[in-house]
Amino acid sequence: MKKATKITAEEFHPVSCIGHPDEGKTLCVEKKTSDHELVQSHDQLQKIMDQSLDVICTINEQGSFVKLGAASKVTWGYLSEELIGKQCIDLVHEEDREKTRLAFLSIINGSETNHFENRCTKKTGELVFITWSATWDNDDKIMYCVARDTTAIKKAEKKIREERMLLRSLMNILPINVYTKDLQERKTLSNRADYEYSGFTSEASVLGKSDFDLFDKESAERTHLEDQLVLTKGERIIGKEEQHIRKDGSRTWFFISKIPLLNEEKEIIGLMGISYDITKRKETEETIRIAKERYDVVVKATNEAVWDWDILTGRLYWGENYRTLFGFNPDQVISLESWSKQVHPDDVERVSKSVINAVRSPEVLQWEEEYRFIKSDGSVAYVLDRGFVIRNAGGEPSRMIGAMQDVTQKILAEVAIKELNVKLNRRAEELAASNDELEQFAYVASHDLQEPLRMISSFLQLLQKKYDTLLDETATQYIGQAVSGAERMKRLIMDLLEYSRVGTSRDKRTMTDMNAVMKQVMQIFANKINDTSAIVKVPVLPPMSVNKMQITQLFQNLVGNAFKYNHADKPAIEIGFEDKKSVWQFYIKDNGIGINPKYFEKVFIIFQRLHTRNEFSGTGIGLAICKKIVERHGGTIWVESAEGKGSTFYFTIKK
Amino acid sequence: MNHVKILLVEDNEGDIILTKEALKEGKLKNEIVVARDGEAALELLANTAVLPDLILLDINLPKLNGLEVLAAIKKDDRLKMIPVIMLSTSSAEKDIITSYNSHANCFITKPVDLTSFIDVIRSIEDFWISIVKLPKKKLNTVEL
Repeated sequence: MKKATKITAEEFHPVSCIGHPDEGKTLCVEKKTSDHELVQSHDQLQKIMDQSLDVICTINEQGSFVKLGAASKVTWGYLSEELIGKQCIDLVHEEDREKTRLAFLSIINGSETNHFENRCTKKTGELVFITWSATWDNDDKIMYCVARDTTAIKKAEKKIREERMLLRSLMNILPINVYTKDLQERKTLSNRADYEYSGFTSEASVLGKSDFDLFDKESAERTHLEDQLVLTKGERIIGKEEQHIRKDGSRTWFFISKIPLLNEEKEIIGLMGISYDITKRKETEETIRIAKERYDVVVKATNEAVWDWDILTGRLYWGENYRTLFGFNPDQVISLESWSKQVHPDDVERVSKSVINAVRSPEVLQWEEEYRFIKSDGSVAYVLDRGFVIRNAGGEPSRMIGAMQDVTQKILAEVAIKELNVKLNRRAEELAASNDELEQFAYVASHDLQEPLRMISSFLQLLQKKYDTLLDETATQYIGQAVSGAERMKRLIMDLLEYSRVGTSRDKRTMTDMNAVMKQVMQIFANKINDTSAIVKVPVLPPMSVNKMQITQLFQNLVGNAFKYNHADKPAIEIGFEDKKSVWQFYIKDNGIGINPKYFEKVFIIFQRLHTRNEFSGTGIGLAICKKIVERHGGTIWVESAEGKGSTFYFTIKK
Repeated sequence: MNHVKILLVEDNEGDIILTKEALKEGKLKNEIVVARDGEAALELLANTAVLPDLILLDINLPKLNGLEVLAAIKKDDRLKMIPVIMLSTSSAEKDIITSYNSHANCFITKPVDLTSFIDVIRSIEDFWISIVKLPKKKLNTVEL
């Protein structure tokens, strides 16, 4: 608008120069020197007036047109001749006549105006907007006027105003913060979203304020840095995501853009920014990210190759484990065929049918198959493949998601276990057979082997009995030797039988009252203890899981030995035990004859004797049986001793 | 009672001799009848006019073994009252249990020592013939 006024003034000046109350007069005085010149000057003036796009005119004191430029035809639709002598006010729109009269009077009274607006009615009846500049020449009693048609400008202005309004409304309904700032980073524009975000109810409350006034310091400082980049370097910040903090501490994620605002001289005069609240999106992204992360971790952790078959497009997507487990690149877009190609030829028909059946049967949601899968290196893996069919509301399959597990090791292990079981069964059968054989042997030993022995000894005795008088001393002695040999043979057979019976499948371990066992053992030796005034120390024992019969025999043998290989006047025997976490450890200490350390191992060997039969009777089976019993209880037996210093037998029993 | 009839079921010739020797020295006058296998024993019992007063039965026998013979005797009303002494080299638990389950009157493991053996045989004869009160022997009408 200003611009338009300016132009009017510029154009007006030369004219006003001619007709100016001061300058114009001087010019006129000078030019009056010649009539010719005057006429010439008048013509020139008329030409200028006619050339002007604005209506240049003069009006007398009565308000009638005196002179008019040709532009009146364009502006009002009247030829200048038509208007000369006519009242100017008649052209003016009724509503504007009053103010026009007032302005007219004010000008006559000496106030110069170069900007008065009113509306006139054209000859055609159209309304035109006129902007007047006028000066009153009191000497000539004439008003010099320039009337400019500003209808187009007015219309343009109106349009601009409307557009501006539209823009405003638009800006205010935008869910995006829109603002401009000056060089001092003070708000010069703020749309509704922006000022409401800032915590105000009108734009006016925000204008002139900086981010330091409006928001949290941390956020304001960052904004300040950004603003400076834009304001001083002219940089454009486009699409940056940042978290913004308000004074109350609430946080909002924004998608921001800032660009410098330039004037016509291309100088930066401020900045314009938009911020879009993306908190929801961020939260969703975060949720998705966490879900994805969880999914990724699960996929990694499961050690299964996860797959996703888009049934509609036929594309098959694989998880990372497809590489790890089978050596294929999961990133390659893979069709279902590329999978079925890898299924073992013997399995492919069955598995393909099963998949198709699962997809086609609306009631089927779950699918599972075991098959062989050829890895990228050509080796065959046994896989367990499980999937879910995802169907739309109409029951049409859209996707199938599943996981393929390499169960080769499991299958191999199962095969191995089966083989092992077969072996074990065979072994058990063999064992049962060997047990039967052992039983058979035991029977044979107890019966059949004894029979001839009995015959030998009985008939030798019968020989001696019936033919006593015929036999000399030597013959009697020989018979005696033969009988005693047969007797020993019988003993050996019986012992061997006993030894072989330890450790057959019959010996089960049960919770046993060990104190009862000790009592029973002590009863066996009651007479012996009495006769020898022996001191026997027996501990109080906790219940233990043992084979009662065998454990009784073990103690009986060891205590028996402690008595047997003992020449002390008062045999002293001590039984003790210790809890050694996984085992019970026992000891039986005596003050007997002791054992030479070089025989520590030998004493436990079956039929191994250290003494002659004259010294100590026995077949040498006792400790061998002890060893076997201890071993049957998952323990070990050993001896510590020195000749003449007594012996201590130790043994352990696994708990 | 001065004539005692004893049935010895034994396949081992040595044991037959030894048993006979032992019984020879007994207080009682006795007649010893020997069956060398299980079938022979049952046949003899079925056909004899005078039932034995005592049966000494070995376990390990050809054809029918001692336990089978025992079972047959104890099922037979005519024979079941006769004391049956199981005489065996075996001391196997299952033989002992089976014998008593089949109503053997006594189970004895043959002693290795001759003297003991003689003592045992004499004791058996003495105990079962002189001491134990048994029902009167049913007479075989045919033979009487």
